[in-house]
Parts: sequence; C-alpha cells; structure tokens
Amino acid sequence: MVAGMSLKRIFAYIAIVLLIPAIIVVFAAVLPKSLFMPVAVLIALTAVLAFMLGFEKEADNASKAVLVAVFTALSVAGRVVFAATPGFKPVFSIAIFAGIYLGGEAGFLVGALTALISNFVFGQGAWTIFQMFSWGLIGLAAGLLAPLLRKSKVALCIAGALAGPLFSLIIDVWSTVWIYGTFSLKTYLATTLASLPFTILHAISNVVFLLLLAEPMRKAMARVTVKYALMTSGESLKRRSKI
Amino acid sequence: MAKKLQIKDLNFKYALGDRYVLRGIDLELDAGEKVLLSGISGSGKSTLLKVISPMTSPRGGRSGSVLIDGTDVRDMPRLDITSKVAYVAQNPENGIVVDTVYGELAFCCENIGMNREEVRRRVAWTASYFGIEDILKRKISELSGGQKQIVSLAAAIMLKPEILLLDEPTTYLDPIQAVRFLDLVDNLNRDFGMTVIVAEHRVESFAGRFDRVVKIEEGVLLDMDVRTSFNETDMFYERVFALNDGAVNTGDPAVSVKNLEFRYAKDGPNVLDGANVDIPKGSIYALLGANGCGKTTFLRCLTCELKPQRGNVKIRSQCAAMTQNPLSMFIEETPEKDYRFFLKQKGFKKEEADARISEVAEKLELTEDILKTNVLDLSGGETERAAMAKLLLAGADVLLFDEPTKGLDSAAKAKLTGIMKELAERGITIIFVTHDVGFALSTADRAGVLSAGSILE
Amino acid sequence: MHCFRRYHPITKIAYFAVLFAIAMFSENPLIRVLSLAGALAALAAGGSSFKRLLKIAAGGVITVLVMGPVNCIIFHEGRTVLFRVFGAAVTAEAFLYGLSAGVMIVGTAVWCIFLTDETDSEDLVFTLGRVLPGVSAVITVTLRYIPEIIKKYRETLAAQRMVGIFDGKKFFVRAVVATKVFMSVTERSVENAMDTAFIMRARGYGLRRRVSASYKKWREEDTVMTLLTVTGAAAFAFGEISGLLGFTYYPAAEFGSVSLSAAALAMVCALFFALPALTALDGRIRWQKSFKSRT
Repeated sequence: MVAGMSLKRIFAYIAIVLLIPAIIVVFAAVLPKSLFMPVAVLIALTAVLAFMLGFEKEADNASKAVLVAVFTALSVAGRVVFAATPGFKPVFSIAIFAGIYLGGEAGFLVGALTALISNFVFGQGAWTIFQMFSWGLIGLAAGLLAPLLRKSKVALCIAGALAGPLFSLIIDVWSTVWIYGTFSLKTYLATTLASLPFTILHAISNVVFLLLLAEPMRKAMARVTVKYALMTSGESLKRRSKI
Repeated sequence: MAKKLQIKDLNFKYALGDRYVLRGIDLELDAGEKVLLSGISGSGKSTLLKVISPMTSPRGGRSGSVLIDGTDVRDMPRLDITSKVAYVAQNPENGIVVDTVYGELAFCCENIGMNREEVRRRVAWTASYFGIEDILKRKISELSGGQKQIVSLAAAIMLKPEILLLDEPTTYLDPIQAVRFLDLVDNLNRDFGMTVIVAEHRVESFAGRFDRVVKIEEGVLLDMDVRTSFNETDMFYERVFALNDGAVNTGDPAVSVKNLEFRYAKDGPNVLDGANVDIPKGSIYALLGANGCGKTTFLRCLTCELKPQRGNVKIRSQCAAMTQNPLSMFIEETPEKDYRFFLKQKGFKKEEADARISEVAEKLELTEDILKTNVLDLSGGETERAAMAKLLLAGADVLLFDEPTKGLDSAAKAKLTGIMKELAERGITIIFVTHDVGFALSTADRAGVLSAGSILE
Repeated sequence: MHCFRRYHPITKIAYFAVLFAIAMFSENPLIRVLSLAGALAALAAGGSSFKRLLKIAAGGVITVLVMGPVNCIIFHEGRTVLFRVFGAAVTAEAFLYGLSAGVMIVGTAVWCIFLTDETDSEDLVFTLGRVLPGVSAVITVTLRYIPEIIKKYRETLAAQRMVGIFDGKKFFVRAVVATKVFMSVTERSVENAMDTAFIMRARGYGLRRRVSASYKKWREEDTVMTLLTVTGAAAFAFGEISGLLGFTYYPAAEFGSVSLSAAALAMVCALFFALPALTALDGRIRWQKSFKSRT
C-alpha cells in the first residue's frame, strides 16, 4: 500500500527536502529580519498546506487515513508517556517509519500533524509552523529513502542520527533571526551551541527507538497488509480453533 | 410485496482461506422483523453480517445473492446501501471513529456530504431520542463502555437505515448496560420499523426479545426453537449467599481483610467503608456487586496498588492480579517469548524457565501451538488462560481477576470454570470480581456482595 | 474565566495571527513591553492562579536579565561604550537590544501559554474541516486514538508491575520494560486501526466529498472582535511602513518618531493587546450580574 511515486514526483520531493532549507538559510543571511520572518512563515506554511492538499485525495481511502492517524497518535502519545525523560522520545522515529511504510507524503503528514497536535499539550506557539515543516521533512526524506532504509539497519541508524540535528539546524536558523535580529555565522553558532545537548540527546534517542521499533513495526505492517488484503476486521484472521 | 431482506443460497470463503465459512445460507426477513442470530464463536455469524452489505463485505469468494426490497445489493448504488444498512461492531473501542460524541454522530452525514443545517437537526434529534444530550459535547475517551456502545448505535442510525445489523453488541457490557442497550434497539425496531439482526451467543437470556431465533452452525443456517428461561442470570442474591452456607472454614485464611476504608478524594465519600472478609486457602471467591460499587477499588487495595486509609489487608503468600484486558499482560509477540523475558527478569536460568513454563502450560492446557501464536491471534479464552499462566509463573498462589468473563462465550467460560476449580484443588486461592452471576454460581465456592462499601456474605 | 475560548475558531485564528505578527516582528521596545503587559493581563484576568503567574514572571525576569549580557558578548556595535573586556566594547545599545529581545521572547512565550489555554483541538478540526475535510478527518481519528494509546500504555505497564517484574529492579530494567510496553502497544494499535477503517467504510467514508459539521456558530461578538483585529493590524502595518512605530538600536537607540500620531498608533496597539483581558473582565462582570440575580 506504499504509494508508488513517479520519477517526476521523486525529483520534486528531493528538491523540497534539499532546496527549501537551503533557501531559508540564504534568505536568512540576505534578507533583513522584517522581510525574512514573513517569507519564512510563508514558505513553511505553503509547504505544509501543499502536502495536506496532496494528501486530501488519498485520505478518501479509509485504511490509509487510519494508518496515518494511528502513526500520528503513536508519536503524540509517545511524546506524552515519555515526557519524564527530556529528549528521549519516539517522535522522529515514528515519522521515519511512517515515511518508510506509508510513503513520503504520509510521512510528511505524520511529522507535521504530530507537531500540530502535540503542541495542544506541550504549548502551541509561533514555532508550531516551523516544527510542522521540519518534522514533516524528516518523514518525507524517510519516504524517499524507503527502499534503502527498509533493507539496511545501518542506514536506518544513520538516518535517525542525522534526523535530530537536521531538525535542530533548520529550527535554529529561524530562532537565530528571531532572537538576535540578524543572521550571521556568529549568532547562528551561539544558538546551535545552546541547543547542542538536546541535539545530541535527540540523535541518540532516535537511534535507540529506531532499532527497537524496527522489528515490531515491520511485523505489524506485515500483518496489516494481510488484513488489508482481506479488507475486513480482526475476526477473520483469527485461527478457527474452538474456544 | 418483496421481503425487506432476502439472502439466497449465500456461500462465502475468505480470500486467504480455502474453507467455506458460509454454506448455502437462506434467510428471509420481513420489514420490521427482529431476528437473533446465534452460534458459537467462529461459526460464521459475524461473517454473515458483514457479507450482507458490499460496503462491509470482506474480500473472498462469494456466490448466491442478497436482495433488499427485491433489488440485488450489488446493483444498488453504494450510497443507497450505506444509508439502508447500518452496522454496529462488537467492541465499542473499535466501533467508534472520531474523538467527540458530536463528531461521531455527525460522521455518517459528513461522509455523504449532507447539508450542515440538516446534520445539526439530525444530531439534535438522535441525541434526544437516545438520551445522550448530556454527553453530546464530551470526548469519547471520557465515556463508559455502555455509553460508548450507545453512541456507536446512535452514530450508525444517523442515515435512517432500514436494516440494522449488530455483531454481539453486548459482549463487553455489564448486564445493566446490556439491557439498556437492547431496549434502545427494541425502541428503534418498534418506533421506526427497522429490521434488526443481532448476532449473539447468549441465546437464553435474550431470546424473549426477538420474533425469531436462527442458529448458524459450521456455516449452515438452522431454525431454532428456544424456550425463554428467566433464570439464566439470576438477579436474586439468595443463591449467591447460599454458596457460603456449604463452605467450611479450614485453617488460616490466605487473604484476610479487616475494616478496609478507602476514598479517592480527601473529603470524598468512602468507596470502601469497613469491608471485612476472610478467604481460606484453596477456595474460589466471587465478589459481586453493581456498577461503581467499588469492586475494582477493592481489588486494587488487595494488590497494594492503592493504599487504604484505614484497616489492613493480610495476604499470607504471593499474590498477583490480572487487569480487565488480559492482552495487556503481554509485552512480547507470543506467550512463550513473553514468559521467557519475564522469567529472565525474575532471575531464572533458561533451563529452569523452560521447566516452569512447561509445568504451568500443562496445568492451564496451553498447547505448544498456543504458546507460539501471536497474542493478537489468540481467542478470548486462550488469551485469558495464557495471561493466567503469567500469574502462576510469577509464583503467585493467590490470583486476583477483574471481570474474567468479559468478552468470553459460554464454551470459553465453561473451560475457565474447569481450570479455576482444578487450580483451587492444588491449593491456589482465586478471587474474582464479576457482574456475571451465572459464572460466579457455577465456579465459586464462596461469594460476597459489595454494597455501600462493605462486603455482605 | 476562559472568555476568549468561546469565540469562533476563525475569529481566534485571525486574532492570534495578527497578535503574533506584531509581538514577534516589532522592534520597538515600547510595543514589546505593551505586548508583554497585555499577555500577563490576559492570563491574570483569565483566572490563572497567583502561583502560576509568579512562576511565569520569575522565568520572564531571568530570561530578560540573561539576554542583556548575552547580546553584549555577541554584538559590540553602538555608540555608548560602557567598558571594554579584552579590547571588545560592551555598549549600552547592545545591552538595551538584549533586554528588549528578552521582553519580546517572554511576551511571545506568555501569549503562547494564553493561546494554549484558550484554543483546543476542536478549533483546529473545525477550521481545517472547511478547507481540507480529509485531513481534518484524519486529525479527528488521531485525537480519538491518542487517549486510547496512552490508556493502553499505562494499563500494560500497570499489569507488568502487578506481576512483579520491577521488584527490586534498577532504572535500566524499568526503561527496557517501558520501551517494550510501548513497542507492544504500537503493534496492537496498528492492528486495531484496520477495524476502525472497516467501520469507517460501513459508515460511508470516502463515498463523497466530506462536509464538516460542527455546533460552533458565528456570533455578533465575533464580528466585533474581527473588526477590532483588522483595526489593530492596520494600525501596526501603517506604523511599520511609515516608520512611525520603528526603532533603531545601532548606532544609537532611537524611536522612529516621537509624535502624537506615533503615540496614537501605540495606543491602538495597546488596546489590541488588551482585548483578551478586557474580554475576560467583561465575562466576569456578566457572570457576577447573572449570579447575583439568582440569590
């Protein structure tokens, strides 16, 4: 049930994953703050809305809609039940799995919706839109690399370890401009260094959760595929033993 | 005039199976008729309900036909079938789609693109008809199981269906909730002439409500003549209290509770208000009581999960408890893997663990096949026994159960009775709280009723 | 009293969008202070406990005090050199900028607390439902699952505790078991998802383009609030474009304009920031009146 993507789409997505963050960095360096902020919000908002619009048609498929919902719910719930351990949360790993098993678009949506919904608990704010955008990018990137990530655990770990810092680096561009008013190497470094401990913790917890969840996810998705092939609820799958 | 629903020589097998689950089903229902579809689990009754509408039909080989008002369902537009046939699932946890009661009621109408003002009117009417106006703006997660199932029924009839299919809708409800639910179904049938099919395995207690009872056995439909009996779930406590008359007290009690008092809020009322009970070793004790009387609170006091404000609980040996959902006992894929992980944490070596597992498995009639099956594929009875095994592996000889018969059919209950009795003979003390008076009478050798905070014997 | 909560979701979104635009983009320290004051007033009038306000205030003061020196370390521009450390100038302007940025950060953070207090997922579902009904359906299903999954997790963890898996065990074992519980809950939830999909199909999901129904309605107050929001936005935009509300920090701290029209614009912004607090006060008065009439 993974979305078969055309080559054209894949190129478009690679462009989104690589280009938009690059554009944001360039804009941050070039544009004055008063211009950069609206532009950055607009870029993030457009990307998020575009993906939601793209998913709109797929959402008609009940199974797909429900799987995106359950992945999102798992990562929001993960953020809640592991609230006691800061930084140690399965959020990114679930967005990555969503990308791998449901396709890049669904992966983006899971990441974005996780940020949006969990912030009703953890605090909604202006950062929500940037969080949605960067978490979504992680899911999208995982979707693009799905064939590789599915095969090799090493690749999965590397992807997980990179996802955390990638996210922090994107968010930091924005927070630098917001706090210091200008974007320069010095101010950017000051922001990234401040969030470094969290970034490292993120990377570690991602790898841990990816490794732990890889098997259960694979099995659960294999079971779901069988169930989906039957297009029915649980009972028919169960062995017909007495009692 | 054509019949409301006609099923003609229907055969069905699942896409991944080779056995026909339904064989030559013939069934005709008049408008407004109410039929009870009985049969043991796995007999094909759920499948029959699903196959009726193409919207819910599983993939597989199908022959024969289903006609509504004389038209084959496969020739009807999908929108028509959706609004004519409503389906309510067994488990309210899986039968509800969205997060709020209002949203759930509106869900059907939203799907077919109904006018917003019309949706509001229908929600308003349905809420008042079912008496759920007070919970209309609530979240589903705040509701009780009985309320959830009523919401699920209300959501299903939003499009004014003519045929209502219910798949064992009361399995997860307690007796009072079940009666309330079936009353609502009766009302729908009486007030709007809805044609109703209810799949149910507890025939005796419900048959009186139906025009006709049919039975499905190994995929074949048979007519059935049932005499309604009124004593199935005996609401009278005499027989419960009578259990204690025959019981003899031998030696020290395994569990002794004295003057237990517990309340949840500082100045709140006492949920347990001086509860006293002595339970001898090797006996099976059933604790009965109405909804919200504090049965589960009592159990949680026994497991030390809650610390009582007054009184004390003495348990002479190791005790272990099982929650209402036996599935939550497992954190590994199969029972065997789970036991291994558990015993490893408990500090057992591999050989020791294996020996213990096979010993307990034998006691509980857990076959090799069951031990190696994914817990999600086990039947209700199997899950229950596999979870019991975990309690025994924990070295417990006082076992506590919260509603052990929830979701079990009569065959599984009978098996559970046998196993509990056998364990008791080996000196294991069993305590369970339940709504199921019939099960308590057939299984327990003593019983108490929790009311107004204390235990009556 | 959470009086802002009762506004129509679209009203709220418009207000908060303009609010955050002003609170975050304005460089003017006066506007920043007004925003912070408005946010604190909104929380206080909304009925936040004294303890909560004190906590927020303490965090705010620390942030402002930290931001001043931090900015001095990074920036050495500015005309007024206070003193030099290893040859680098520490200027009053850089310090002022830091303080001002601190006020902006705290103001935005307090507004975010207010936003989280006064909005809920139903607003989101409603708003998205009008534009993206499919995505909004996915969100409602998600919202149904979240408490379910958390419940399953807690229940499973409790079941493990009850058979004594943690007896005398270290933190590491607890972490392993907790993670395993999460894994098994993941498997079970994904499995159950297909049952929900089944019910959705039975209820006609995907047959036609969805509409999104809701009991929320547009009141007169919504029109008033939206008009006020537009006024606030217009005043701020005019102030920024004309430079009347501008502020320069370097080389010397200076208001864009010290004039009557600048003061008037600042007043409009102040009123705009005060709207939530005023709404809450209004709600209180109405409640008191109604309450008194009862006894």
